[in-house]
Amino acid sequence: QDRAISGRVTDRANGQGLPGVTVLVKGTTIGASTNSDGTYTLSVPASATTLSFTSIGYVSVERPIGTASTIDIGLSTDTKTLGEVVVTALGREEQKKSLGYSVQDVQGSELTQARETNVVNSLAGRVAGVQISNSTGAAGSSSRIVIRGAKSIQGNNQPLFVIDGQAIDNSSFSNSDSGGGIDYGNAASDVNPDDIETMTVLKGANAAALYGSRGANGVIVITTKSGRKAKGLGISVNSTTSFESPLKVPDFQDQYGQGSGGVFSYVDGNGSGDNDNVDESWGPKLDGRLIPQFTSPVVNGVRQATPWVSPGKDNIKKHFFQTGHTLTNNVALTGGNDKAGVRVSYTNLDQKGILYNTYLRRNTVNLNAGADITSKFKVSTNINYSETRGRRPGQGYDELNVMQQLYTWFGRQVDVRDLKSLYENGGRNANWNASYHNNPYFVLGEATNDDRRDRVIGNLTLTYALTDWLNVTARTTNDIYNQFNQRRVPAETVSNATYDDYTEERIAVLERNTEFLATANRNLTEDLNLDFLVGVNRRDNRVNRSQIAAPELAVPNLFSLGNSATPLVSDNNFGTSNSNNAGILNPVTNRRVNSVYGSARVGFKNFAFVGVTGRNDWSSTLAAGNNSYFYPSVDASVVLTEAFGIKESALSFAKIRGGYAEVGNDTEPYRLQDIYTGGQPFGTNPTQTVFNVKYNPDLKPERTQSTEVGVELRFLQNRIGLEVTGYKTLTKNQIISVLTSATTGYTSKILNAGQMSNKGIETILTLAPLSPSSALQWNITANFAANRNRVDEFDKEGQIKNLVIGSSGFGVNVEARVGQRYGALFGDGFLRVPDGQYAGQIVFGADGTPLVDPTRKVLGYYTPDWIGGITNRFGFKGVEFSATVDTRQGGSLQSETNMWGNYAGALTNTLNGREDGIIGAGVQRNADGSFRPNDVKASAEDYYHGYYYNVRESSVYDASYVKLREVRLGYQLPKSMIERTFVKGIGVSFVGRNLWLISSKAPGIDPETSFNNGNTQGLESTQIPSVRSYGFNINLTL
Amino acid sequence: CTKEFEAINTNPNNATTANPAYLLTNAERANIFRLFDIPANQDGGELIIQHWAKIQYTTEDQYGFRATSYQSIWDGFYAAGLQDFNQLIAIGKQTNNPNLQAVGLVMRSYLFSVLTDLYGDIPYSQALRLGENVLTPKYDSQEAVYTGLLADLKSASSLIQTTGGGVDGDIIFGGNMVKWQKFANSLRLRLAMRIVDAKEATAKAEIAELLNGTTPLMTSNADIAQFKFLGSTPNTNPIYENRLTRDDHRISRSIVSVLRRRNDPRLPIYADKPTCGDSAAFYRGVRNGLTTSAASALGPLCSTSKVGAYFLAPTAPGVLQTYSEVLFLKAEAIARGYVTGVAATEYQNAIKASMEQYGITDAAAITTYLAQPNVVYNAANYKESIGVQKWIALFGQGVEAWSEWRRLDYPKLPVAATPAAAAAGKIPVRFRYPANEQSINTASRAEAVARQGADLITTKLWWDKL
Repeated sequence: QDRAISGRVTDRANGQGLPGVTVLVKGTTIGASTNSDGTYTLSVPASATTLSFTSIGYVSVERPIGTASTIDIGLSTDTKTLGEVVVTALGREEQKKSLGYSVQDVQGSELTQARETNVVNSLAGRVAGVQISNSTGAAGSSSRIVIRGAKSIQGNNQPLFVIDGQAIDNSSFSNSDSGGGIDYGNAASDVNPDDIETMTVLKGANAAALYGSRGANGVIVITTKSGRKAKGLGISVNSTTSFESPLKVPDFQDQYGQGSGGVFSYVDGNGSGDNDNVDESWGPKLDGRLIPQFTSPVVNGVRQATPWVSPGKDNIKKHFFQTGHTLTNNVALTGGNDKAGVRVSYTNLDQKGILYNTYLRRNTVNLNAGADITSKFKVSTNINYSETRGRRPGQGYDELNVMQQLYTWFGRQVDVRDLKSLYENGGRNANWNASYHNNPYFVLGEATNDDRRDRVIGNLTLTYALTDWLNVTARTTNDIYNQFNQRRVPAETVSNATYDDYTEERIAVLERNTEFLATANRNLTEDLNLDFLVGVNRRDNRVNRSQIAAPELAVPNLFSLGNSATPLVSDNNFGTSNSNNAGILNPVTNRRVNSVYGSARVGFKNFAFVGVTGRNDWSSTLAAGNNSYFYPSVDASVVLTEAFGIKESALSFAKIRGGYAEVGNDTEPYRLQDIYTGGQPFGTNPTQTVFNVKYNPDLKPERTQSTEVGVELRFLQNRIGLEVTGYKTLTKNQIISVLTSATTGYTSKILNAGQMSNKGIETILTLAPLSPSSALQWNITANFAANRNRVDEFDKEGQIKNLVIGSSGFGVNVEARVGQRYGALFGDGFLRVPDGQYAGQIVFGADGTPLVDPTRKVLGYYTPDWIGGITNRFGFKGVEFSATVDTRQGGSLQSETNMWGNYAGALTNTLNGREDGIIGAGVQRNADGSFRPNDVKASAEDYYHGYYYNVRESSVYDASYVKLREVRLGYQLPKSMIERTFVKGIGVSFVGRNLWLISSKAPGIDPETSFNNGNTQGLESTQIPSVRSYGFNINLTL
Repeated sequence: CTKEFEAINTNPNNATTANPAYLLTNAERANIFRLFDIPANQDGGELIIQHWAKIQYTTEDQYGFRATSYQSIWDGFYAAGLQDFNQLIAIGKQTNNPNLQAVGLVMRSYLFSVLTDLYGDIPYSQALRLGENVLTPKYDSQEAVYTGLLADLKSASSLIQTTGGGVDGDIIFGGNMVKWQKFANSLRLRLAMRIVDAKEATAKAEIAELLNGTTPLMTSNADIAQFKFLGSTPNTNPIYENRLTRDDHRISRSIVSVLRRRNDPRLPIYADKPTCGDSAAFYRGVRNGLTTSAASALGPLCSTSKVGAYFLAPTAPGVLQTYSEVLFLKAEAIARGYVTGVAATEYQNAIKASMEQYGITDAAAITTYLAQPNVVYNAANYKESIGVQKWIALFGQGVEAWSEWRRLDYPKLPVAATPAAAAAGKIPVRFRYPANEQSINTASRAEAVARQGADLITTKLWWDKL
């Protein structure tokens, strides 16, 4: 006969009741789960001897029943050991120990306290093998994330973002490149950190086979907070305030002002005075002599001479950059019981950039709701609406990026405060140089780039339990956004001739997935568990873009398409383009992928696991006959400590794992058939041209093969943990647009043969140096990852040896070269003595400047040798302190800030030899072909012109760095202090991010920079400096 | 489940078939724009040949040509120019439209000749064949290129049917096939004369055939092959477009002094007077190849002479070949004894045609000009007479002026004041191959360099024997 047992399960750490704990009579399926206050009641048969208590995130406990009718128990949290659960493909929670591949978690609390407006940046330094590069310090700029190195020669190398089982779009519609443009951020930055419960990084293709092609680069799985575990009504408020300032600014000289050859005198800044339109600082010494300047008073039509002095070395740093300010406020309401839960959250982000008149503002509303309609039928939904508005600065080497002027082409006597007051007092674009430059405040104040993105990400999931081990699920997910960009270029800007120019761009993006799943979890025998899933999915992607420009506006200062004086220009047309408006090749793109997939995982005695997956896709982008492709994966893991019953030894946990996966991939739409693009008409004659890309009707799917093996070890009651993973990937039949010699008639061709391989190692080491029972807690997490990458081939015939991925505006290519590492920087190097006593020395010409080697060469690679990070965490009675340092070692970048800053005499470096000239370190070639030490002196102006203009090698630097990424000091008020109040928790933390560039070899810039988040990295193009941020966070739970 | 795929992947954005009229309009516009744009003309031929000089960003005037410039000339002419004309030739064949085929052949030949005159050996026979998977076209010798071009122009002329319809979308001659035929033959005359020092027998035979009196050639300024740009963007002259934002170019001191010594009535058209400074009453040309500091020492921008307003207008024509040039070629052919005639007469008519081209029609003034000792035709040194006058007449046509100077070696021009080391103290005689050929057509380029000589701006081309 049965009898009743009841009790309460609590969290050992705080004594609070734990809901949802599974209480089972061991050896049976008889059980119950605890209520919201942690209590349970269970009817057990007389034969029952033991109860087991299990809950995700807690150490499982077994208790003999004996004769007790009440069993209370406290569970201790377990983040390290056997019960750890991670969210993997399709939003499934799986035991980490059962996985044959590497995954790593980041908790949401870490993201909200150490806040980044772009959530991608928060992962920097935290996850082994994940490289994050934030492009610039502009508010809302994009970030690039690459896991285990680039796998695609030319395509997307960034992971898929998945929220609650829903893949979301992470496009970047930025048009910033070496020549200018706007960085509109990457779309995943819309995800609000406040709504994130956990982020899990699935690193390899193994982890991602079930997501399809887009998982080949890894997957970032985001689980949002839900109301499910709430007990009654809960309110939480989170507020973060932070301040931003430039992390690193070039070292400017303050000894010599504008001009050339030591001569300067201002008349109109347009060439009427002596060198008054020269935008370099090779002018007179800033010694207080009297010279007419743009700020000098004009008396009777004559500009007076005023003292020629420096406004200070740090004029730009102190006075041009403003302190950025970010305020984020979040309030969330949760409510629920054991049958249903709701969480509603509202977040407001208001960021003021470090550049004048730039900002990013975002409002997010998130609804997460789920309910058990019946015991068998569940419904859940997550709907997120965000509205993002930005006012963004120009980027790249362009007059509309103010850094181009301030960092390089600048008169060092110019006080930026004078420029500001000129602009603010109605001077419009008046400035120090009327020929080539704008007033930077005018550019930021009037040549504005505004954008607005409205986005809804939502899903609806219905699940029905056919039996206690078989569920069926139907799910629809939608990610829809509309972006509206407005670019204004006033007539007064120097490159814009006579009219105001206005451009509107509209982008509409949709991703829709419709999915049916059946999942099963069943113990086949006592020792054998089967976890099984089959599904079908249809994915539709639609992107519509249009760009309309009014290059000549009628009424000045009225930026509206209706105000156009000439016919509007649609930049959906290729051909002749006007300023800053790049053409859009495919304004409308549609793609559909149908899929059937399945997975099965078998567990033996809960210590040995084997998983297999398989997926077949049919993609609309490939021709019939080539558009169906299947790809499988298999992985296995064995927990050795359990398999061999190892207990009570120094080794607390040991697991080995391994896996193999293939992922197939399709291509972009419309790459099968050649096209003719239209251009602007010539008078009334329409125009057309053969498009310069040769398409390919025979494209076959790409394929990535990936193998990984790993070991996870923990020692001394888990106080030491070590996880090591080795992997190899091979991506073949890559669909690449190879740059072809224009002599072929096309500048590129779509080929289907590229192959690239990666191999690497990742390690994660965790240490708890102090005893778990001591009041002071100290945890160290260190990660290290090295990836070696090789470009194997481009075409089967081997005709193509090199592929240009991108290039700087001044002759440095980023290339993939057969047999070499990805990301070669290729350009002009110094001519060096090949051999003999002067071997390796730079050869100087008769004018005393270095000669160029006529054979261009690889000047470096942007891909690093290794990356790593270390986090130290200390906890003491509610106070937590943590610090993260991360590093990238190896890799190079070419810097235009340094190239032009030296050329133009703006940097301190150019003070050498100002008065006496310079004899460069190197040799001269004698008439007989021998060499002698260089004995030709050049003026500093000629020397720096030649040294930096002729040779790109002179501005290539080692991109290694060590950064103090984050420091956080937090304090959680002890429960005892607030017990009697209505407040459930109060915490406060002080956080600094990107605080200190501890070591770096690239002068004056943060080497972690780029002009966008694409594959063209390793080029610095007078970039907006990255920011240091510091601030505080308060959270309150009611 | 895949039956809608074909519809989904049908390109909704761009045409998959061409309209030859639209292709022709764009190919003419884009390539003639390119011929007169910064890299080939304004910072290329016009500086090297000392029609123009630079007072700001003087690097190119010192023969420091940017790697990106060679690239844009090469990529533009091959992928956006030759490719389109090649397509037109193919469409002409397919649709049995010999006139379209001929126009394509003439323009393709023109662009190939520009490319080979700039670089020397170039991809020709294997060029434009990506459809046959030729990914890395071999370079042909310049001799082979010229052989091919002369043959193409001959067949173009014979393809033309002057009765019946012309071609649609033609902005150069408005579809007038009589003029196209004259242009085809006049261009062939230019190219035949170009190889006269390298392959005289061929040149002589070609020239004799062309000047036999029955082959149609340009016969007046109405036959000039030129492209008339429009008054508004994006269809304006590239020099106008450059001057919207830049003011770096000035008239060269070299041409100002040659014109002034001859009281040449073309001077006020070629140049404007300064608007400030001591020399506002005179044409103040700028020495070529100044350093930035030497150029700024000249004084304010307004104190030196700009290129004449005629050339800066949005509608200024892009000139491919003039009647005057044909007469100079005829004079030279007579001087070389290839055909009979009076060289001095053709020479004088050539100068006269050049003047008339700019609206200088005062017969007495022209007669006075022609009678000057430094203008009178010198049979003993016809290369100097023709070289100097042709150089004047080709003002604005930088690439052709540079080629003819290299061939005739007149006028004697000074080297840039401070030449870049790469020039080895000489005026450049070619451009370097574009940088990307080293990356993506490595072996073919290397083979050309081995045959032609080092890839330097000092390496002489095949036809530049003297």
